[in-house]
Amino acid sequence: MTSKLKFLVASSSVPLVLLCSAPAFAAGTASGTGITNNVSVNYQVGGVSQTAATGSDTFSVDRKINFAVAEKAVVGSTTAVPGQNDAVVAYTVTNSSNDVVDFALTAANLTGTAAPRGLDNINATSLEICVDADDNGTCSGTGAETWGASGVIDNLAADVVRTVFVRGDFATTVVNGDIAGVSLNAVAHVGGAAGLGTQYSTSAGAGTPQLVATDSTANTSGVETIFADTGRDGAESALDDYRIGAAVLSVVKTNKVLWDPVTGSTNGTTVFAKAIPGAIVEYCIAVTNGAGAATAQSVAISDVLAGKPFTYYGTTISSGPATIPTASANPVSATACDGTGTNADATVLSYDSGSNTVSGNLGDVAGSTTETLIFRVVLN
Amino acid sequence: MRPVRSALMLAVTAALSSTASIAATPLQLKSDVFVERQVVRSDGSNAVVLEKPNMVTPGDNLVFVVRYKNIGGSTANNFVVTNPLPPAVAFNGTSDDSEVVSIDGGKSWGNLDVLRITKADGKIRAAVRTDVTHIKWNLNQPLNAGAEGKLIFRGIVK
Repeated sequence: MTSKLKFLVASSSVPLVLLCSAPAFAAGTASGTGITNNVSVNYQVGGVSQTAATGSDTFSVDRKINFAVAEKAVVGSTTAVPGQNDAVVAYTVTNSSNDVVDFALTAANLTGTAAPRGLDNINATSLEICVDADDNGTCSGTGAETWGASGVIDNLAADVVRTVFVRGDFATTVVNGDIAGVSLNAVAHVGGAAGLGTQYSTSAGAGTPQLVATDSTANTSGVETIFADTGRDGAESALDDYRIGAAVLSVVKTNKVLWDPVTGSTNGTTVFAKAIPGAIVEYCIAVTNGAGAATAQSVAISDVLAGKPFTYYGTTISSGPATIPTASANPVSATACDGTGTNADATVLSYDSGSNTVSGNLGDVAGSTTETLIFRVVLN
Repeated sequence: MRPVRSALMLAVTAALSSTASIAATPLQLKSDVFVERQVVRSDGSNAVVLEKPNMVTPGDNLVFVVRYKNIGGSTANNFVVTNPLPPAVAFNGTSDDSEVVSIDGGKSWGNLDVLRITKADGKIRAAVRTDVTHIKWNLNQPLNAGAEGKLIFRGIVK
């Protein structure tokens, strides 16, 4: 070995980083592309220019099967509610091969193993796959975008990313905080023709380090297939998960006497009004959603006052107290029973004198929050 | 310009790759290509070996060896070797930087560090190895009858 070639291929422990400081070419030159090196030389003999000599050789670029499956951004658990059907998670399949590749897709539940964000403890049922063939971010449900128990990405070109949706159903018995991990598995098949091609054989190359060319049939003119994906097996998968986000609502009804005709107004420290006839009492119905629970939407409250020994009181009475909340024709909403805090999305809080019912819509009640409906009555 | 050391056959066990040559001219020229493989030796250290380009995929490191020999009876002078880079190969340097390169298809030449590229927006940037389209060696030494040598450059499969 000459010194120069030694310099180039010194068989010492050359840091790999030096040898691999190659620019990134993504999928790179298409497989089957011939590389021919032509060399020419010009020289003179006896002062006379001579015809250039040329030398060339040719070899072909082989097929590198390399791809990845990943959870599609935005990465995070997908919230599902008990009894929900067709809850969708999304993945991406990226073809980094230097050839068109078909991918056969299957989805599977984890069975009690670690999901990306927690431990899998429930399963989604009726898992189905849809390939976003037109790359518009949705599954139309027809044609190439039909939901099915398995899926196919047909002819994914080099360097192209395809979105794959998986959907599943959940029983009504699942509870808040349950986690269902789902994997999407993709296996490389021969691309080019319409429909799923034959699977790339793993008999010769699976698990074989690419850098050791053990394929005895390898040659310079044909196109060999080399697995360069993780594990070098032509199969990749990724996990995503569902988190069951049920609302966990609790309701507490409290009251306090604001005023009575004898004592006057409660001041909270030394003077306490009593619940005697003519007293004004404030009721508070507080709805609390548990920590980590899904937001409860359109939380409606109704409280039938008929038959109770008091009368709804909506406006200031002539001899009324000075310290009670500003009276209005309807109940009020707040985020605390003392009337403080703004419940911005409460709507249609009202008192219906016909049915003698206080009702209202507290709007959305997010996890770890409390929203209230407050109204006052006069004891009979 | 350094003379290129005349050398005999490579002590590489892998057979030389497909080689074409034209023997009709007094100067014989051969181009061989090897692909670098990282192997782990029995003691755990890494070694790099050169193999025939049987299995070559994008990102592989290639070593091109251009060997020349004066098989005529006269001394050759003003010896210039020109090697256009195959389109699928990115230049990755030579062993001794004795070459000049072109980044415009062989119209102009120079050392890579003085060449500039005008970008689409009109701004100018320094040329890099992946811009190289041609490599040329100007060998000022006369090549006597029977003498030979070789030139080596590296490339990466795009």
